Amino acid sequence: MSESLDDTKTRIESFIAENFPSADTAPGSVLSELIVKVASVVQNSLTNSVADLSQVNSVQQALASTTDTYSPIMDEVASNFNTSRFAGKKSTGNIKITVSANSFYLVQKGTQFIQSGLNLTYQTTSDIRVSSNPNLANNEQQLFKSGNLYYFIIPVEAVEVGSQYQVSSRAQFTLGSATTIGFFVSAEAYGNFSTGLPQDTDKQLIEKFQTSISNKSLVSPVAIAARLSTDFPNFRSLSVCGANDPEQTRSKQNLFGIATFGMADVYVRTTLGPEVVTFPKTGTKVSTGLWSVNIGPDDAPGFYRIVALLPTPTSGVVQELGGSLTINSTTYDYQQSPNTRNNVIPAASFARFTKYQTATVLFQYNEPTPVAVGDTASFDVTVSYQPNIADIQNLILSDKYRLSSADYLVKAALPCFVSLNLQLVKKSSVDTIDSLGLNNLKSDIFNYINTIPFGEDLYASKIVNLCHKYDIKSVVLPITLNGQIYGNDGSTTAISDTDVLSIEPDIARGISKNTVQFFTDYYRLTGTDNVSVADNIGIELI
Amino acid sequence: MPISSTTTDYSLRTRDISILQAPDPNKVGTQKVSAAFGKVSSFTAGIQKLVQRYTIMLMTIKGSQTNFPDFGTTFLSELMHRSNNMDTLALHHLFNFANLDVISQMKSYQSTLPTTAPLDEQIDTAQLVNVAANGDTVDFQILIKSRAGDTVQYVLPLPNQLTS
Repeated sequence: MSESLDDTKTRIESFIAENFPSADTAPGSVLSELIVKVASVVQNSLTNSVADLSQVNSVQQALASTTDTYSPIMDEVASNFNTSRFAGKKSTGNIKITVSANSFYLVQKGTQFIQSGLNLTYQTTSDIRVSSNPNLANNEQQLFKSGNLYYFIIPVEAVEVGSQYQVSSRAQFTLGSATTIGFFVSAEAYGNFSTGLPQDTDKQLIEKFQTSISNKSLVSPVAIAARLSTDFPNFRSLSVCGANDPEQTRSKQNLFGIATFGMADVYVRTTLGPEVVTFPKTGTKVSTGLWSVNIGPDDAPGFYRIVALLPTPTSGVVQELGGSLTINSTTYDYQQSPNTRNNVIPAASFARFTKYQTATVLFQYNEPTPVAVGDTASFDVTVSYQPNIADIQNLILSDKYRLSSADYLVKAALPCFVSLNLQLVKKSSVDTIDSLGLNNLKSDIFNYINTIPFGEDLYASKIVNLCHKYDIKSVVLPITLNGQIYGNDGSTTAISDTDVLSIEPDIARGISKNTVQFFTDYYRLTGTDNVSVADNIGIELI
Repeated sequence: MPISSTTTDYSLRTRDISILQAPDPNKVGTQKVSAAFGKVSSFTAGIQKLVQRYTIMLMTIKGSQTNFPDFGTTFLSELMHRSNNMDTLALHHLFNFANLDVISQMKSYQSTLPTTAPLDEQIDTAQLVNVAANGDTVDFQILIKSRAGDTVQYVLPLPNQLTS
């Protein structure tokens, strides 16, 4: 059990009071400032290190530990199994900074931005110069004009590793206490941040012992997981639906409808929260006010949905994320490269969420200068997706590692996007979200929902348990859990429950607990013309 | 001349280290008292200890102690980060907020003390009596009243560039 800093300070003050009763250690006293506080910090660190180390004298003790431990002893043991502790990965993204003056700006390395709602801090990793006439040879960034204001976009990364740092587009930031940017107006996330990953705990490292010494020949789910964990650090979980599994309908696509052996669908999750990517595509005018764009298999393999579609700016002004042209329809299909090894795809629905997926998007667009039907223009398409789907499929199909007698089709896990709202009753009238540290509750819920394994349900009771880690009086029940499942046929299913959000099987659309994963984000964008940001994990303190 | 009586017996009091060095008795005229340990260590108790604690808490920048971010006030940080010149009204305003912070912290601690704790080491109230420019410093004249009813006034000089 770790000791808090206040407990250590109280312990030292009690010791002094007992042994040196004439010493005054009241707050603000010299003894308190120079001796008690300093000793508390040093002793607290040592006390907790000793407590943690004492839990890791053996592998069994590490597994039985009630806290997350990171013992160097386990690193030494892991080396015997030819495995090592993953050091974690910092979430990265871009921040759009709005300023009120056309000027030259220097954002120094280490400039911090704080997402105060979630208590997360990000920083720049290099000096960034911004100008309305940037010297590209010196890597200067462009200052853009927007109405009476100006803005620029800079890359940042989280100050620490961890999965909780993945914020979504338009999340607002404040400047760090030691940060000053002249004529500063506002800062917000420009696009979703990438997935961050935590450092492996001793327990997670010990779990890797089993997979690291297992056969990595892509035969069993354990072996596939072991191989993917090694080759793709983002890899999180998988589910294999093979022979005799009801979800394996691809093998029944024959004249007799009888399942043939040798096929398996591998559903993978390679990201904690939803990630987005933007790429340019050429659109074609179909008729007046109606255009189409074809998304190829290589653009964002296995993407989930289109988040935004906007004309590529021609004047050098970066588009506002969150807005989108109105999409009339999205028709999914598939495309396989000839003269290469491909999986068997009986119909377009089987290619959904795979590297073979394509899409034709019809959308409304009134071009500034009318053009003829058949003319083209450039558009920026933003989609949510899971990275590495094509890479994993290519690995499994490769000459070196494939199973000659099997057809393993890799699919991004079908998503169930979750949102919920909580009402928490405070104990004292002076309690606030900040004073109770409820910023961290969103991270706790974010991590819980995004780490539910295949086959398990989402429980409102577990969310209530998370709430009671904080000093609140009660949680207003019921909590309504809302989910939206994307099926293989391109349609969506809304589910809702106040107790357990469970995935009911719909095999015809590829939906089951073994194929669907829960996803949630901190924020969601609502509206198309006037885009606003709403809490996906809403917390209200009453 | 022998000592005929004492007003207060500090012999049984808890003691803190004094860092408000006493004026040199061999010098004539007003002397500045700086916070320092000095060549000879000395203790402090009573109203002087209260004044020292109050001053330390007032002048510590809130957030400057990484592990104790709630200790101190924003008095100095507000003075340093203001880009405009400030008049006495603004300085009073800043001081009052910081003063409330200090008194709240001290009274919160005092509520944990036994009833026998000496009253002249417990704060009742404090106020800014006057602010005056004095050469290269701005003198904040502070009055502190203890729960025993004692009052003491002292001047806290701050460099001019902090307030301009």
